[in-house]
Amino acid sequence: MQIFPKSLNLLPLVAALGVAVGGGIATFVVVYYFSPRFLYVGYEPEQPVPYSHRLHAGQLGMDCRYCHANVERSFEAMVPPTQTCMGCHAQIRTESARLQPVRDSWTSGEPVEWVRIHNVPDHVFFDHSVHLSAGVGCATCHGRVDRMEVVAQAEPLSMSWCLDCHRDPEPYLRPTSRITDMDWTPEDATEAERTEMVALLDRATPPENCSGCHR
Amino acid sequence: MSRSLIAAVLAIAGASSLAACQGQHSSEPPIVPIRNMHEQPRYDAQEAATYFTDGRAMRPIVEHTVAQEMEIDPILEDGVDENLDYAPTIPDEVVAGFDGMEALLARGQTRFDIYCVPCHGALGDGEGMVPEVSNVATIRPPTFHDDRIRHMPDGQLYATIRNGLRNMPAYGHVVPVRDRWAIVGYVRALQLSQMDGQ
Repeated sequence: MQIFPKSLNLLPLVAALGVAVGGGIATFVVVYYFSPRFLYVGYEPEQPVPYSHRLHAGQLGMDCRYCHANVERSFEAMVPPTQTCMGCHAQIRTESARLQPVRDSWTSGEPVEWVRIHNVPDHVFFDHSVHLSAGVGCATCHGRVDRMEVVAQAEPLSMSWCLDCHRDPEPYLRPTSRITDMDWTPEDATEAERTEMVALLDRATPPENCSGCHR
Repeated sequence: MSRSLIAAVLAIAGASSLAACQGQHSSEPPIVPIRNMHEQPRYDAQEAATYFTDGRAMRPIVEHTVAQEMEIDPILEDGVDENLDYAPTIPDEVVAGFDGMEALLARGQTRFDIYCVPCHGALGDGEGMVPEVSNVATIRPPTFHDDRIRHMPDGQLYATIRNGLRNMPAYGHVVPVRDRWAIVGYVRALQLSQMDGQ
């Protein structure tokens, strides 16, 4: 007696094909769309003041540390206090409507509520100062901020992305005098800088163990 | 059956091609798929805090208190002694802390390039980017290469960096004590370098 009609002979093949195709699509969707590279890169929140890094850091050529003054000695690069803005803007563009929140903050003492862009999870302890003294430049993780009218996250800041460099730092290191130089590429290195980079690499001990970053 | 399968595949492919590509810009806060301990019940630096009435997690220094890392020697911190006379030279303690004058000057150069060059220019001649670009008549930094500034005591240059002067804002909140003295040293070096032919 035949329980299954003959047409069902194709069922295993179709099922196998379905699992393969469906599984492939599901894998692609998870890997591509659930990844930090998709979810986090390109985040550019609207700020209370349309501050242009392209103007200040790019055209005017100001060093990153003029405003992010703590970056070499602290975990945090720090958003500058209103005092830093007013150092210049008490005299320059004093009538600008776009700077009104800065002037309000200066008179009232209330901080300007800048929106944080680069954010790692609370269980990650990232220290700017050690990365700078090890020879990792601003542009390596933040991209060409000097060309951004509105700052957007350029790199995923995911754990695998961190580990790419921690396991093989050589292509990401630069001389410490070039930390904030957005244009610098390894091809630009002078003889002295190459010597310094070899020394930096010798000295580099980026942790690959869990407790290096998770505490 | 196989036709409906193809239709399903096409539908999913079509839907995913409509969805955004990696790296697309958005002002929406990112979606965090795995939230385990992502936000912990603690405040980060510069975070907003509901606990305090002023809304800041970072607390301002309480009046009349001294932070542990604060410099209490007035010569070092303010550039003046008890009688409010300017320190004539860079304190020996600062030079020793840098392992000598050469390292102090090298450090001073890097700090000068960051904080001073925008207005004073790389040579300290007052021909910086800000006076040129801003076109504001009141922003005219003096050249360091005249006798008035050459003969100022080191402590007066230091105090100017720390507290600001006339149009120049104070840099005490961004440049730490020893770096301020290093900048003073580098300004002196600049002055010597421009003495030639005068």
